[in-house]
Amino acid sequence: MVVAAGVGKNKKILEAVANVDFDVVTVESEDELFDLLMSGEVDAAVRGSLSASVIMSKLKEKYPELYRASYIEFGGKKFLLSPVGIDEGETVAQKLNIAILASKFLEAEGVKPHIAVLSSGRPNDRGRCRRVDESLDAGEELTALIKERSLDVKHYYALLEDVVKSDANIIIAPDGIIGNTIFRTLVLVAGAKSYGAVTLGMKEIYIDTSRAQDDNGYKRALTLADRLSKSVPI
Amino acid sequence: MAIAVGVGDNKAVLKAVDGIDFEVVIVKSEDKLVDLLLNGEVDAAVRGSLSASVIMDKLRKTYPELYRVSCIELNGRRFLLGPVGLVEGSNLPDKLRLAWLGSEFLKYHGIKPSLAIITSGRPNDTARNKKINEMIEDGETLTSKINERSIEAKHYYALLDDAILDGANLIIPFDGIFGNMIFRSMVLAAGAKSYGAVTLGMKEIYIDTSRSQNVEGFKRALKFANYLSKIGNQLPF
Repeated sequence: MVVAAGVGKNKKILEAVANVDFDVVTVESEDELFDLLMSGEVDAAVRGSLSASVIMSKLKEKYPELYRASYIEFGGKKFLLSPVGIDEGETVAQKLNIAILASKFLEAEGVKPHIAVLSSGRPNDRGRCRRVDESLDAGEELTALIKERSLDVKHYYALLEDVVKSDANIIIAPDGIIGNTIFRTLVLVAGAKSYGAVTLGMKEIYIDTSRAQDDNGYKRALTLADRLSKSVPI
Repeated sequence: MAIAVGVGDNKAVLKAVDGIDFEVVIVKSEDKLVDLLLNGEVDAAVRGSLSASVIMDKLRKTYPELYRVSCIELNGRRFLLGPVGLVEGSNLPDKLRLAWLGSEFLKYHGIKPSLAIITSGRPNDTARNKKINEMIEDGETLTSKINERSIEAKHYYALLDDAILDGANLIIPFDGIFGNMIFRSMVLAAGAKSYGAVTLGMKEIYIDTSRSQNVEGFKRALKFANYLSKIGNQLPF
């Protein structure tokens, strides 16, 4: 089993590579990382500090609907947070897809999915402004659609603080812009552990990482990629 | 000198009042809280767990343009974050006004303002989609308009983490919906300390608090209100 890791400006991934006990191929271009993964020459790929948007554009040529879900450990709990790409998960249909794909991912890991849907406001904020109303409506609609698929789901409105105390292991943000901000706040500001973002909607294993990640964060992402390549059919 | 505090469903406020070494008046209705504050019968008011929207609607009858900025402490750094109210700061003039009022507040307390504008993406993310482009353009315009007023401001795009590391003391998210989620992630989920939100745009001291706040959070807000009222019971306005 071999994992490919991208090395761009942030060289901390090299320290992480030196500290893992499985084979890692380091690559310095997005093209090479993509080719190695798609040709099956490696079993998984980790973005490292190469350009996320360049790699995602290439992957989307083959898989038009891809969604990144960050694997986060916070307060002793692990959960997936998605959408986290700023131009991902803008519609209810896309977020439904995320919920289904993330649930399949967790089920393959042997974990029962519990989904938390977030929106912007509380129930009694309805009527205060159009954008809040739209977000609440979208949250209600998404929750109902997920329920129809017999998945465990609850609409938490804006109450992220209740979500992190609950048994939810999939958190669906209102959109990728807000999801990205929640990720930055929890992981890059408040020090929650990130294992990287699993890319849902493709059969190969590709783990996205923040380019601002430290060597421990990269090590966790490499270890996740290695573990998934050994055990989990995505 | 007395501080009024509102008590609604969350009774943690009452526990917070225990052990406070200054006079606190407990109030159970939004009307009474606003009346006491605007009549000058108390030196400051803390929302506690009463309805924020009812209180803000009442205050806006006297002061139509109000902006709440949360005072947060994280990893030893203190900063203001605003807009955090869902319907606040939704356009450029509002954010410019908030930037100016927030800067005046900091200067009044002897702190040189250093503003961080938070939108989305990174500089090379333009042209990814319409919404991101609009946010980034808004951030660029806001930053240059603040700089024109000789106030230090930098557009950090989505890089909230960099803004905090750089020591920004007034963080301005794209809008109140966005700011509210940053507040919830940072304070209510990740445990950063909140001292409550100062209400800018009025001369009386009104500190908003999240109704989900715990005893320690309410206690910090009461002490913050007391501290502000000792410096002078009127804010720069």
